[in-house]
Amino acid sequence: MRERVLRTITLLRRDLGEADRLAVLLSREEGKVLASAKSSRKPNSRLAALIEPFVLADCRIIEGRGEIQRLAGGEVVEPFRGIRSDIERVARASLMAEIADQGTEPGSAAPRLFALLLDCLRLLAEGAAGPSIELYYLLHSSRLLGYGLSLDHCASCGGDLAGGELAMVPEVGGLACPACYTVAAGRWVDALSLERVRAYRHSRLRVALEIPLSNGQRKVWLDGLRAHVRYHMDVSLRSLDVLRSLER
Amino acid sequence: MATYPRAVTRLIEAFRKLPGVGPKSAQRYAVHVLRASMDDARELADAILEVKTSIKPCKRCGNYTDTDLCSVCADPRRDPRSLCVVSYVRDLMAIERAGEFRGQYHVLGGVLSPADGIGPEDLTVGALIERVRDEHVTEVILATSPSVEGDATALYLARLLGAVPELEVTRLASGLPAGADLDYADQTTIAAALSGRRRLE
Ligand SMILES: [Zn+2]
Ligand SMILES: [Zn+2]
Repeated sequence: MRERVLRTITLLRRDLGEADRLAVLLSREEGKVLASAKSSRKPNSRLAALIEPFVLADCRIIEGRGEIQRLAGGEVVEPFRGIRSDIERVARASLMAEIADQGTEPGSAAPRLFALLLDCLRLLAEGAAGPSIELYYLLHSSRLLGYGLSLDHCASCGGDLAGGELAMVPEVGGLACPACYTVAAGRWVDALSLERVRAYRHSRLRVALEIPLSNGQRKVWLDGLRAHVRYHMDVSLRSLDVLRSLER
Repeated sequence: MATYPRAVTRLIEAFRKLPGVGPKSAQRYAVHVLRASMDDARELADAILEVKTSIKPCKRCGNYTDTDLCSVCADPRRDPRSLCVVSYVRDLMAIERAGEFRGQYHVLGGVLSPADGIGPEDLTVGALIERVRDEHVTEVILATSPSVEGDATALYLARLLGAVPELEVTRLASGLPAGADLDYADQTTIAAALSGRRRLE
């Protein structure tokens, strides 16, 4: 049976049977990989550390009969320990992992999503501003996963988005111009913050984190993007609920 | 195609709900019960009903008990100023088996795990803080598992408990490998982890 080494990020893991776990990994070459890790709940397991959430590792994976493959060994490349020092960081990393898990199917390459998640986890672990990292991730992952938010055209009429107050309306697919949305149904974003979030789109993460957004502006965008992602993924995101309760 | 009579299917389905039991094992258990003596079968059924009707969480620590206070809380020889915080009762049992710890426990009822939708309000965090204040606890040992969730939970609690004056907060020492479940660890490992516990923050 085919065996290869993949560089992976662990998205999540679940208990399986008496002492095993099922790991959901993300790789560049093969996208999402489901792998069972035999006896990984036992204290002497060499597999356990590889499939801790958010760990970057080189995993030796053996093809199985069905969708589930087998983790045979490997080495931790970077455990991103800084994430676990703060439950809010864990919640944000979990949200990003959950979106990657829900939005991908096993077997199709995901080099850009992998790179995006890796960048975001690294900066989260370093202690950079969590809300800005999340904003960046939501903006970029939604584009990679096929439901990106248009920052240039009204999602309703297709007209240019320029000045004035804009409404973030997940139900129409994103931002709507004042002509299309005069009711208070959406979340209002101002033209200045639109300019700044557009800059997020074209910047590397480290650079994007320097773009000034006030807490209020960032919150509007974050709430709007969360609603947008949730609407399009059409699943409940469990880590988002916890993240919200931690923010209260 | 022949299938099992309804009562057998019902039993198989009931066994399938147990953790770690797949369809094959469930069928094996059901057949085992079918072959067992009436006494053994009745003993199994009674035992299940008895735990469900008589066992409840200890009012103070969350351990299983059939009275108001569990055997640990009711034991006057156990030091109430030293409190060991565990995720599950099975972890409490693992530490008891090691026989080193002479204080009392607090069972959280899980770990903080955003991926599973579990936040602070789903655990007995509030009750823990109250106990630490009211019962004049001087040492809290955080004995969550050495995983992402266990570490995050320990550090979250350490931060909350940091506000309590003259309280020493420690964490089980490593030796327990990353990602392992505490209740799988052997007694020597747990004893070593307890004696090598280190201060947090
Ligand atoms: Zn419009
Ligand atoms: Zn008790």
